[in-house]
Amino acid sequence: MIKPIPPAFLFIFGTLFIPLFKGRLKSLYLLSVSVIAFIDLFLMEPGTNWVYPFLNNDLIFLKVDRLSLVVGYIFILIGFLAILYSLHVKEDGQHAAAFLYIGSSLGVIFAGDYFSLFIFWEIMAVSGVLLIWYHRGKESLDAGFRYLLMHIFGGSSLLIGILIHAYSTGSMVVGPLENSWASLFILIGFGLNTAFIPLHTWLPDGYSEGTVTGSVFLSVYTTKTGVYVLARCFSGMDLVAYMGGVMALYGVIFALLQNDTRKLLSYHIVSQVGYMVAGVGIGIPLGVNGGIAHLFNHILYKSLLFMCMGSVIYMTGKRKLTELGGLARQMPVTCLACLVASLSISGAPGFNGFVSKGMVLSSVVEAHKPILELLLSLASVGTFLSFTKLCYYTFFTKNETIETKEVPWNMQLAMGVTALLCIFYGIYPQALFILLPSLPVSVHPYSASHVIGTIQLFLWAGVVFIMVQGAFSPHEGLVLDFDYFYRITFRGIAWLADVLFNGLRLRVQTLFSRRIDGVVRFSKNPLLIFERIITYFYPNVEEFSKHETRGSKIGEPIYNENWYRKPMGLGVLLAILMLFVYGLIYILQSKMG
Amino acid sequence: MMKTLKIIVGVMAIVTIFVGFFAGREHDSFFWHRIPSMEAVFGILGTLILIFLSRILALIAFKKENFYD
Repeated sequence: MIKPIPPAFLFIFGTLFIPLFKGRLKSLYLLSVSVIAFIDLFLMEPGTNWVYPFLNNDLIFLKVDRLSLVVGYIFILIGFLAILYSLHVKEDGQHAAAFLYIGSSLGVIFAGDYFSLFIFWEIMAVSGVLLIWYHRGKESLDAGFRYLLMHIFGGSSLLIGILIHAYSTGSMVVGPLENSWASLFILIGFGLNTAFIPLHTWLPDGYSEGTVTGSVFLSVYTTKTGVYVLARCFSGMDLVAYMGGVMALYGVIFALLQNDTRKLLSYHIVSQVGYMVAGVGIGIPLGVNGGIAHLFNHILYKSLLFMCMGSVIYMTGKRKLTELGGLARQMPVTCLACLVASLSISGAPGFNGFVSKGMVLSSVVEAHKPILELLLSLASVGTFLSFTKLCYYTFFTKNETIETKEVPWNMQLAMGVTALLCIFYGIYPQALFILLPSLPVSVHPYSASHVIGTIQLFLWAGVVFIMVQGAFSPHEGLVLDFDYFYRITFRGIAWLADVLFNGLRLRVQTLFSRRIDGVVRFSKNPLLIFERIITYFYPNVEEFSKHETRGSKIGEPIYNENWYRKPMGLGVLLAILMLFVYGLIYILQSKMG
Repeated sequence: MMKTLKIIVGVMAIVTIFVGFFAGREHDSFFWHRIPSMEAVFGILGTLILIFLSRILALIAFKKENFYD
């Protein structure tokens, strides 16, 4: 019997071999890692563990249960499709970053202790930044740094929480958390990755600036690992549930105003993750199942949407709705895939979003939370409107200035398969139900009232859209978000540090350095005191200081310190030797002891 | 083409109102669950509320693209 290994390792160590392959062999290798990881996961059963003892602790790199399995399946499945979509990319670095990103996300999912979770959490943040930076250009670089800063804040908060938790409970096992300071810090850390308002700004900022293929990966993993850890540690928390409702509506309102297609999609990640967070926060089995089912479905249609908009950008070089239009005839596969994804995310009957969104809403009603139901219903209307706008202005409005064709075969294939999966899980949701964490799943999504209600919602929203279409037309511009306050604050801090504190430091330094310079000069060569005295009394005696000595030439100071200075490498060598000898003594001593 | 589409959407929207009276109820927890074809009202009101909210947001936060530069 082959013992399964953590799938995270397959991707992380698989990164090392990427440069060894060329051409088609490389494509085969990239895809085969996902296939092997899927088989590896398939061999696992709930209860499988992979523990590594480290410093009197157990690092649990693999702890399998139904929750981690379902998320693991969709992570690897979409990893395969996203890699297929990005096969045409020639840069090894981009593939390596994607592999690290997928691997570390899987690491978080299967981590059984907070320490290993934190390690993978941080690898995920760094590899995610690389997927943004590979787009190159000032905007990507800046957005990447902002992404990194926000994640450093989140990671620090998580680490503080973990340390307090470990100190107060003595346990590092990942599991439900009680109300405490530790849980507050951990919630902030998890919440940042889940795009809690107002910690979400890194998401639309970073994802809209990633590479065409990188943003597909980005749209899948970071926020979903956040939802996953919330389901594991904060399920059933009212604060989390209502945060989900706020996220759902907030994301939709901002999305409606966007002109940048990928920014629009990014705000919809915030919104859709809100549904998942609400389901998880409700905490009853239907809510958690609904949240995780929505996570599963969302990964499919959201990655498809990013693939479609990535294809549009890849072929036209344009990313704004005001510059796009008329692509339906020129890019029919992309257009069809985008329509499928839009119907899925809107929750139209027959598509996967319909099933999971209905589960979340039912759980909210079952938990008797009317405000939350209204927030989510309103967000549902906004989602439909937003994607009507996106499809209309990208594919169906008249624009005769764009001449293009369909994307390469690998991109079309990836979009086609993902679109088919959106439809498959929409018409046969039982295939998803059997994977969900809480069994049995007694949900009947295609009840007459649910189907008719959804159609009514869309049609009447559509009627109003047609009547006041001008209200939804895109405009050139930027919508300020909470990052405005962060930027203002940090600019203030930078001014304070640079102008005030650094200015003060420079003044003090100048004052002292003048005094110190004099002392240093005289301490280097006390004879200078006499030279000074002589030149003071006899200003014309310049030749006094112009005779050659060791290390100095005529005209230079008498004492030249560079003559006595050894290369820096010598110092480093001595330090290494010292360290080696110290290590040797330590090892020998511990062996003898 | 667009005109035909608009007519189809309009007719279907009206038809679903009547169908909604016979579709039964999925939930019965809050008062709006007991009103037939309430989702149609949600669709209209929701769109208007979202337009209103997004307009307010645009007034406050919509700036030129080079705002941060």
